[in-house]
Amino acid sequence: MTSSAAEFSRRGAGGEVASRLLCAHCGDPVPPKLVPPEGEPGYCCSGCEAAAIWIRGHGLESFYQRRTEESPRPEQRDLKKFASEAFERRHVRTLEDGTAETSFRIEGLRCAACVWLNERALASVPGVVDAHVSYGTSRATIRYRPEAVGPGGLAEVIGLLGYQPSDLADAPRATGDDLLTRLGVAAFCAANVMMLHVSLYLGAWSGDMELRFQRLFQVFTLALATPTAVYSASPFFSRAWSALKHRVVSMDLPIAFAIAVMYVHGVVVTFGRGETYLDSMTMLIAFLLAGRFVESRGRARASEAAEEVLALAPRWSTIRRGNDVEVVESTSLQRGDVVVVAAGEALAADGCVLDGSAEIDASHVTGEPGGVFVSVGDEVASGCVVVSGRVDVRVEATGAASTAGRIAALVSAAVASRSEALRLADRVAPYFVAVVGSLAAICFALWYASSGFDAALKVGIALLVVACPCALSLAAPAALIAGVGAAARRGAFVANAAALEQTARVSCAGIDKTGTLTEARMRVVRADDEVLALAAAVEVGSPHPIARAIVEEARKRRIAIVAASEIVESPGRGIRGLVHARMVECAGAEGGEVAVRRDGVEIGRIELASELRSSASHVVAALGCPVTILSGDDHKAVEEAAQAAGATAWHGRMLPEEKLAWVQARQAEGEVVLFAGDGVNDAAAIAAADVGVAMRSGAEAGIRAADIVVLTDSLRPVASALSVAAITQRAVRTNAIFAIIYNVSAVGLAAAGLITPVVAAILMPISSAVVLWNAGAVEGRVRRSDP
Amino acid sequence: MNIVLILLPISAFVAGIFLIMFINAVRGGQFEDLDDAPWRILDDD
Repeated sequence: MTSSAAEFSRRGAGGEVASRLLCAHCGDPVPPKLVPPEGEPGYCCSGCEAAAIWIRGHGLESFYQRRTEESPRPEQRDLKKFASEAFERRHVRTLEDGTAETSFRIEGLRCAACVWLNERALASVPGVVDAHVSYGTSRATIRYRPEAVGPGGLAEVIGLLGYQPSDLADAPRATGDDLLTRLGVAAFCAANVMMLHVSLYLGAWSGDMELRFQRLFQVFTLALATPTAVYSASPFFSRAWSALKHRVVSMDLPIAFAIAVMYVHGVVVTFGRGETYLDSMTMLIAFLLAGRFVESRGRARASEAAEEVLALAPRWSTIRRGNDVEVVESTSLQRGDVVVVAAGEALAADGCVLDGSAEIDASHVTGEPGGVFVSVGDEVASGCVVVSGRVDVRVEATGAASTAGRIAALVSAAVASRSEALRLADRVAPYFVAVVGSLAAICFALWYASSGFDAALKVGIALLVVACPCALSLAAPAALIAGVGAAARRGAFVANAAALEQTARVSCAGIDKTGTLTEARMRVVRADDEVLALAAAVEVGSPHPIARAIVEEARKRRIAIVAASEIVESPGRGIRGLVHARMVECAGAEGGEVAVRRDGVEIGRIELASELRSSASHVVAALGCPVTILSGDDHKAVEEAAQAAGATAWHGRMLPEEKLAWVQARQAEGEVVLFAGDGVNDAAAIAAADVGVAMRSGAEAGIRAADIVVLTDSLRPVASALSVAAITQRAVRTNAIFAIIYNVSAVGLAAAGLITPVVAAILMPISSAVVLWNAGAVEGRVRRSDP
Repeated sequence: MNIVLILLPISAFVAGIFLIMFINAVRGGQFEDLDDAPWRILDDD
């Protein structure tokens, strides 16, 4: 099915078949020497050919009809680490039935068909029991028979297809499930205990409940409360214990203490006389676990951002030794080595061009899409991709000293410093414990002196029970989670819930220009149909962003793309080819235009621009604070965009370090800084900012470093996130105030001897319910404030 | 009212079955990836 003609007509929908042959796998042009006989699929390189043969050989060729994006080109990659013992230890777990399970991330998944292909490919490997690839997280989970296959073999299949397996920062996860089971058990027990206790309270109130029924209900209550206290609540006990061992005071301490008191009291009373607090206890545990569970689901992923940046530099490089070339691992590159970089390849080290010329994509440094022309004597940075041409580069800086290494170090340092944010509940914990502890001691002493030991014990237990900071622990998480949900419905994914608190206090904002304030892709603004048709004929198949924009516009206007031949692309100077036997030439002209010449005579120009997003000025206004535009583009372009958007200040030609420095300088002045960007070059600034915002369409490194990811192709969600944050912040505050008032007054009542089990059973859920209700009201308040 | 003595254990037993079903569902990974199912429905096989 996938003949070259079919392949091309899919790309050139609506156009005629052009002469330029495109790779049946990755869609790049096929080099002349690899053009196959008529009717056979052509490939740009042996990697693509191997991938396509593998796919056909396993009966998966329908992948080519399913896919909506071109596939990544297979590259030589070092996958040895997947076969290593260290990987085995960290990422493989053995299951009860003798099979093993491993998981890793697959990079390069572009559409649903990619997920489909990887899943089928993994499942077809002998020894694999079952394979699952997640759309949302790119995580592959594979169960296999360890005697037949290992993670190394699985990674090789992924690599062969052109995707890149990378190891996850975390070990195979079991904690989420574990917490969910604990929560389920607690909620189940709490609901049943509650029903039993309603009967007990009604019986006690009417006074005619038979003793044997009362006994029966109490025994059932204890039977249900025991798994809650022993199994569900065990994380609180273990954390409280480790806090004690390390001599720190955390909120787990009063919680664990209150649970222990309630449970022991319950056991004693069940086999003696009186009423228990077991209903309050089970419900308390269920509420607290619910809070923890939601929090753990929403927590930000670890600092994989730095690894993303390092992945820009290829693991293998071709170096020139005299007249020979040799492929070596990039880590072994040394100063003075000469690296040969051909079109489509990335550079592993910083260096200086010795020979040749090329157009390179340096967007990870400048944030600007499109090529930069370099020739002998120019400096090039690691991570740059050669778009066309070929250069020999003398290596000047490698590894951590190179550009990609430096950016990665900046990102990881910034992420690390941010994760130290303190949590409200744990900050007040020491005071809380001290106050409650001394109050309990004083009350016990006073009641002991006046009414004897029994009464003093009752009051002491009641006080410890109602002092349990249940509502306080729920106050912030419940409101934040509601805020996260409200923001997500408006297109802003909040990766780090704690950042919502910061978002409400933003006092200063920096926004990247290209890709954030403006759209990432170039777009044809003005062109005649005739000129466009000729330009598209020669530009079709070129990976250059300008060429893509021209071809896309031609297709949009339903212009037939005619066949061009003898196409020559010269880096930095444009492209030419024969159309209807006449030489057509497209070359960059001043002002972002492309001049189209036929037989040397200019017949027209195509104007291109990356347009300002429609929501840009709205968002700048909605931020309500000074907004500075920071960009790697030239000063003039930045100034124009900044003025159009209504920003107060702008800086052009910014390097990643300078953006980071700008953020840090504002923070040093005491500002709460929001930074929005999309590129790798923004990642460090995004990570360092109090609120880092990344565009979904942007680089992976930026997204991983961000607190908020904008999911739509618009800046509007940033404005929504701000109003959501302000409302959420108010809800957190009212919740905290309410929770403290509740605890203080309940402790007061207990000290006065007015808290009995039934009063506690009514007060405790009400306090939690009020906090949850207030959090739930966030969505409604946000909706009313929506324009 | 002696019926309570029979009904209470029976209802606890039935409820226990549901709890075990829930635990099995969690163990079986049904709650692993809640965002995935809506995508998967688009696959035609």
